[in-house]
Amino acid sequence: MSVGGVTRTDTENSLREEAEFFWSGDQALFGFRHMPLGRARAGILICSPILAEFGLHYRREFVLGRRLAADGFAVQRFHYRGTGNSGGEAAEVSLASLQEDALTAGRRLAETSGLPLSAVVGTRLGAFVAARVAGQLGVEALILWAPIADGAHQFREAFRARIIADLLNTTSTPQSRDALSEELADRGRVNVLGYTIHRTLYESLVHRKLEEELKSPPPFVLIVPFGDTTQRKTSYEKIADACARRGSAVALGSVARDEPWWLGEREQEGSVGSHTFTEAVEPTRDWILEVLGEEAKSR
Amino acid sequence: MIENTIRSFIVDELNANGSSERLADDYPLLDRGVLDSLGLFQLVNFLEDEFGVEVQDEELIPQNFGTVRDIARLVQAKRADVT
Repeated sequence: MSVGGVTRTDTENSLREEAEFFWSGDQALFGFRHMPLGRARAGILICSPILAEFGLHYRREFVLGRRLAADGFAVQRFHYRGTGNSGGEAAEVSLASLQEDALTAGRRLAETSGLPLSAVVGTRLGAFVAARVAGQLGVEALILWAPIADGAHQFREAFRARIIADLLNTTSTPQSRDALSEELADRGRVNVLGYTIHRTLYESLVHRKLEEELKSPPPFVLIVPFGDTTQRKTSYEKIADACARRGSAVALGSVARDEPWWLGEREQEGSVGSHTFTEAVEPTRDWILEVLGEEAKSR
Repeated sequence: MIENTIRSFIVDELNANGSSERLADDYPLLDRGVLDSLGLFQLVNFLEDEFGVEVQDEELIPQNFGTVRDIARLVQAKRADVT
């Protein structure tokens, strides 16, 4: 069941866009669907990141959805419970709740398009969600944008961002990582530069590694790193190798610049946003067209 | 030379104003705003990646990141620890 749907038709790009609320448990999820004007070729679900990275990648995911709809794909985007426009409480968000919401969104796409899900895209933390959904539904293709490879590493970076910001703020006294962990344990939440990390999410993710979520990867996997540090390359190559050993055809994309998270993006010419924008969307679209059917390109 | 590698990163990657020649070893990076929070965050990641060291949270203090020389000293000390 859904409520409050609104549709916009874009004849110039041969697509229509539908915004609505649908239900995950007793909470409303906000969903946004990009549909081709003709019959859709395949269904694609986009699993966003959360917290600081939710906004950072929002427009890029929107553009990917539009581009794919113009190519004949039905694309579902959504906000998890406890995030964005959806109902629910941020304190209750966990890896399991994110997965459940993604499955609900995937089902909603199947209902509206009449097609099973063929591919899942996951950005940053959304990669964990996408990997789980892909394994559960047995899709053809999985696309991981700058995936978080290790939950512990993610929180380490978040806490480091807070410590660095405190360091440069003369009115704040930097807290150690241990102190921040204690605050999380005692109060159930910790503030990282205006974003609240709740204990439920932390505990559901901190011991998780993406590689372990890919025990049964889809036949086709695309990993797109943002930035080219040795650490990141190594962790992604490890994930790619694991998927390949498990039978997937894996492609490693390339986006030259890192995406600064938590601390935001610099305003200057040639900023990272403009680089990663086109570098991520177009190769991903080309790869999806190749993997899910070249004929869709000619629509 | 560690100082030059650090300096190049700050000028080229963090787009600090001015040339690497002007960014002297003792130029105050934090006090003059050459390194903001994002820049410092990226610099720490760069140091870890480039020099194979791990910067501990308690090492994130002005004394270690105040100048290019301070940063180089920290890296050298950590590399000495590793070896």
